[in-house]
Amino acid sequence: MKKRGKLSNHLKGGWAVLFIVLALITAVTMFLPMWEVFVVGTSSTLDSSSAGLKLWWHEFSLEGFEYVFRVTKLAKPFLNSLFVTTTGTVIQVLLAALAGYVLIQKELPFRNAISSFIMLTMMVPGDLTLISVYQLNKQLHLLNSYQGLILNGLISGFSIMMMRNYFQTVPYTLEEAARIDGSGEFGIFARIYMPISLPGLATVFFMEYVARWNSIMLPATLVTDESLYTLPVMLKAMIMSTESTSGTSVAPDNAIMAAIIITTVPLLLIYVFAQKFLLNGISMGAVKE
Amino acid sequence: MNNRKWLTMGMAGVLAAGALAGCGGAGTTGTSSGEAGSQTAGASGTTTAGAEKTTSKSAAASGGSVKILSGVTGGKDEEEMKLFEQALSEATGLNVTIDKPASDYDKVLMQKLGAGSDYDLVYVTASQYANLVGQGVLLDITSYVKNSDILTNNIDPKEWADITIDGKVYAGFNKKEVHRVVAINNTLMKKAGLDYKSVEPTFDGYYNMLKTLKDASSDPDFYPINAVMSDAWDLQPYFAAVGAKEGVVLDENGKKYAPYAEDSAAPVWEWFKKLYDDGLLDPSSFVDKTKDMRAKMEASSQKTAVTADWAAWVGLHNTTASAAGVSTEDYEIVSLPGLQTPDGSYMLGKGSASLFAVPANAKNVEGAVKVLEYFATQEGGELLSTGIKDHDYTGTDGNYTLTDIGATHGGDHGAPFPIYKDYKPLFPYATGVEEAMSYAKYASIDMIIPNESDYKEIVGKWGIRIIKGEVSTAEGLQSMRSELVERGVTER
Amino acid sequence: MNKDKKNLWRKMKRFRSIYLLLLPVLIYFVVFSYYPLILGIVKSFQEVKLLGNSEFVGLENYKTVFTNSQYHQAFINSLIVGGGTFVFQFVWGLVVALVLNEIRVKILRSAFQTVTFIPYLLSWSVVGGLWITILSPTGMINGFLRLLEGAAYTPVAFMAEAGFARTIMIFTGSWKGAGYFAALFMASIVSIDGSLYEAARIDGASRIQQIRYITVPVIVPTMKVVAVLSVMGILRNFDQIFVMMNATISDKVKNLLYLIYEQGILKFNVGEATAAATVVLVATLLITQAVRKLLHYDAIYE
Repeated sequence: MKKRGKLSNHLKGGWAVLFIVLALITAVTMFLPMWEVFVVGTSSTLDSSSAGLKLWWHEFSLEGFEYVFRVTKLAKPFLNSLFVTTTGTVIQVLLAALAGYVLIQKELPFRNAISSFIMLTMMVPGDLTLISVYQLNKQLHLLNSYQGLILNGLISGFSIMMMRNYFQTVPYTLEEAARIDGSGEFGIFARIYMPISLPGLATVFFMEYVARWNSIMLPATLVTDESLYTLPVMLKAMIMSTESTSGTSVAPDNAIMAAIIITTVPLLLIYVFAQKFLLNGISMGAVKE
Repeated sequence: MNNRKWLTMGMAGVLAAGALAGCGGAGTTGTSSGEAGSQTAGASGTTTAGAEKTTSKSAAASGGSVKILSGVTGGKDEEEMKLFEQALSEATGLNVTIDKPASDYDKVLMQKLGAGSDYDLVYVTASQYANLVGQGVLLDITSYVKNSDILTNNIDPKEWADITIDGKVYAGFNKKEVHRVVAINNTLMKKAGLDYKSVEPTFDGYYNMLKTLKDASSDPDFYPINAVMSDAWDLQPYFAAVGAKEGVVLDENGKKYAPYAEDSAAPVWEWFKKLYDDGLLDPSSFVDKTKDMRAKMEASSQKTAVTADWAAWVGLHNTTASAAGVSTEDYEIVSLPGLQTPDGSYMLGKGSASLFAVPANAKNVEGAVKVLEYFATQEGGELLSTGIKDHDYTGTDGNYTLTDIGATHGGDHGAPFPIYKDYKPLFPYATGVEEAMSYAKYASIDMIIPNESDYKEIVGKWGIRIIKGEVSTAEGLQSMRSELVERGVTER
Repeated sequence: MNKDKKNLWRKMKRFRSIYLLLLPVLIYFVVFSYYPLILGIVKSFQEVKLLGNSEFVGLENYKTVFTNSQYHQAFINSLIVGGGTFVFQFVWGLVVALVLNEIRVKILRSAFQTVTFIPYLLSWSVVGGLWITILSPTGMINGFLRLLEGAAYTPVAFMAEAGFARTIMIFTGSWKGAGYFAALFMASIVSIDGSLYEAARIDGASRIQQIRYITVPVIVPTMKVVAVLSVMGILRNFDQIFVMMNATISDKVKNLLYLIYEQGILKFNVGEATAAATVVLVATLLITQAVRKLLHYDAIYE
């Protein structure tokens, strides 16, 4: 079925050209920022401070990385990030999958009301709850704790709604077949829905992982104890701590970009891992057999 | 039915796992939510945010403890922060703890104050200070200041006058604010055959200097002058020519008005327009932020030759270049005080104050004042600038060396220029800073206004329209004035 | 009537373990979303003074929000930029997903998807700064135009032209999020049974027809969900504006969230800020409801 070696499978003539052009333009512009970050991050301090776009090295140098490693200790924040993000995201995706599964039960009374209840939580602008979220965390003794970092945002309406949607595409015939074979509810969920929705699951997992990994505002407001800093917070603190109002010392651009590279690389690795599931979802046939 | 129970159990299992992993056995989500329900929403909870951070510092703390919420002041990492707290504790006889949020300081400050946190000192900018005083959040410490020899004798009375609101003072100083000067690339000046010291401080004098600079350059992307126009904040050296003070001032009837928006300021706007029309003013000035302007000034780009920046930045440009092995022959930044006022002096803008204010619910006001006093001494200044002895620097009696750590911290632990009026820095200033600092006598602080951001936006917007020729000068200034009044920035 | 009630009761009983299953999730939302939300809304009726002593002032804050012309302009800006970004990003994301599905060389496909996702991984302070540079008088776009128009060309400071401001925000906003949407669509596309295409090909359908009649219909439900979920965000765009706005274009792009930030965070005017934020919430609710109805969103799950 797959025709390897061909760029596109059956597109011909004008359409193929159009698709290729669209793909190229998109890819090139979208590749630019990462490229610039990479070039500046590996340029000398002097070159990184120059004006304009920097798309090629004037002088390759790891000064930026040296700076970052000299002024901050990254091992602990990295482990904090890994722990908090992974724990939080795994629990979140599992809960979202269960809740999503509940919400596709056709007969469930008040189903729409429940989904509206969940959706409303996604509409609240952060500024409205800025103080009260802090108050809540204070009341629950969640400030300066791993619990606080994990519990805030543990369940998201977005994940639930996306999982519900991906489950919805599972053909009913499969479920019916499994029921006839004597599978229980949990068996149907675990053996039919979860594997078929693996691409969806991986997508939601990755989206939430990125959001959690990159989040700075929440951890920065919940945590003042440096031993609990996450990686992005630590690096932001490095950049900020060198900033004062009449600005005498500021982290050089190459160090800032090096910091961005350091935070982004783990995400890219996870993405490569997740892509296995993202792009080649288990084909329906495999489940049928 | 049975199957559903399985599901429920699975769910419960996941939750339990989450609770275990997340809470480390301290409490489950269930009990947490129970607590939330039973507690009142009142702002004055008895538990405190920072109570978790009870690492006992120096044991002998006779004056009690002082909790500080800091924006930039303190150690650069956890370890150094401990040393910093220790040094401060020992010097003041207090048990000082400092919380320094990693980022989003403005939000954290608001959250902590909103939730009734108990700090004895909080770091605030001038604009925040004015707003907080207005809400009655800060404590009047005027009498403490009057009764303190250190606070009255070690600090220039003009500094106190700047932060006095309706005869009362609610804060002490974090640092001395420096001023912005006209920074000039002397290497390009020499190349163009100009001597920066003999530039005539008038519209024509500066125009000719810029024109010569432009003509001497073959780079089409080179524009001799850049300024952060969209903030209208670095223009004071030029508006001096008509004697206009930046920001908002009071007229004889006590009404607020913005001198830049007056018709008398028209010649300066028109001068900028001419610079723009003749290709001397960088068109990116309308968009550039301070960071972009500096990038163009750096040795590696040199896309501009004249900017307005902090005195310290004159030195920083030079230091960055020399650290990268560029000689002063190839790159040197010098400074000038700008255009001359009608009465033959100069006017420079000074940074709006960064302060440590005492919140109304502070528990240890005496302790807080003691910390403020220490900040206003030579030793306190050394701690706030160079850093901690035997950590950032070593040595005694004028014979000091920076450690590797100290070198990366650039002589800034919150106050590169301490507030103590006779402060003697441990290490000499960077090249060019001495000269820039010599213009300090022309500098004055802007009036503290709560809506600084509105001012910048409105003046910047209409100023740029005038310069681009989208409106006539008179029309633009008229609109500037009326929008300033409409948004409550000025009163006439 | 009574019988209906009984039926409902019986149904609810039948689903009681399912409800139990949802209970932790619902409790979580009550504690971590609704409780802070209610506290926030309470503040909108107060003249909030930090450190306590807030006074109830009735609808005073709302009056300010509704009568201040700055809020009106910000609301219009939010709608235009947010709505425009949403539509453009949606189409762009769809095109990327469809293109992605046509690439058969595995490594190219994987590389393309990774690249389109990069802007989403980076913060606005990075990509916003990049676009400002690209659009500056000495930037790429002007360089390109100079090539076309010759030496007499005078560079344009695009970011300082009020006329371009919204277009730039919409373009860069959707550019950043297109790969994200594409990934959400892809998760549905990959689950399409390959034999469907095979059958269609044998029936003589062209590839475009296959896309039109197989791929697109399968992802329509996902499109609806993505549409509804992201419409909730159109009034909440802050970071982009914070990074990319300057005084010359503020009239065209300054949005509600930026104004709330100015009031709430910079000026500690919490009462007015929460009132404005509540208005944003209500407006979002109305817009989302409208889109939900328009797309027959809930019918997906019937």
